[in-house]
Amino acid sequence: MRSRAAGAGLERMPAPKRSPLVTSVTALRGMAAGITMLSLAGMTAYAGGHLHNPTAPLQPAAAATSAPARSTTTSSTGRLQLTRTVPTTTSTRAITSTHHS
Amino acid sequence: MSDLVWIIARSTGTAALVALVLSVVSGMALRSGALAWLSHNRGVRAVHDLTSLLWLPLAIAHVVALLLDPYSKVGLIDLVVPFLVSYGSFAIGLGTISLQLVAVVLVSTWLRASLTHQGWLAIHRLSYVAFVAAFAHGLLAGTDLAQPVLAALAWVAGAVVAIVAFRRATRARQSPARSKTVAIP
Repeated sequence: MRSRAAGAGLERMPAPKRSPLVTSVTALRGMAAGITMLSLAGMTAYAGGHLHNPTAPLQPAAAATSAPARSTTTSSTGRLQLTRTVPTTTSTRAITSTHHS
Repeated sequence: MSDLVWIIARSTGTAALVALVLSVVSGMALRSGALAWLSHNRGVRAVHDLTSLLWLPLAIAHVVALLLDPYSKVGLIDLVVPFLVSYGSFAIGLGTISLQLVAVVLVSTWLRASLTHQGWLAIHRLSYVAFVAAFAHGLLAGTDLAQPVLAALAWVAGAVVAIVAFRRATRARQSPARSKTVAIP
């Protein structure tokens, strides 16, 4: 067999020096699922305790403009600590018109 | 209720990225032998298959949570057409693209028997683009990746993928020469 392989011009594959750390496929699957589930559980716990994130990169602009009439004071969605200022503008406009009239 | 879907969106988004990292790393390690110290190829293959399947429900939960969240203003159209969201359109659009690409890769895997090897491989390689898009989406849109510890973990994961990808690319260049040697009668 060996001489046939050598005769065919094939190089012998070097034998592995060390056996792998984990040989059980089930254990590997468990590790992969564990890492994923740990990240899910960890992030759930973290996100639950950190609803407010002032350094969040994105801020839906529509949230500040679409529902201004509902809140007249500073409102926080629990995430980005948005301050809805549109109602103040509305009331100022009303006062100004009264003042001019 | 709004807080709950927001928490689900954040946690499933991060976990989906973790699953995608594991899937991409194990997929590249199948050819490059980068995880030979950890396990034999059969084990690495099992991890690749499992994490690809783990990614799917996490990504679906991430998307559904964002759809249900009234604050995020993400609509059904944003799942189909990227870059339409009124804010952070680039960052969120990258998420749409990565979702679509990984979905295509997964479907092509299920239909592998009816595809040619070259066709399947060409589609499967889209997962590299999908990973880059998902990683950038996480960095640019992820609320929690601004936190130093999580950012460090994300960059470490990105570096691991880059190292394994480099090893995979260098092995790929060597492999045609090796196959020619084997083919010599």
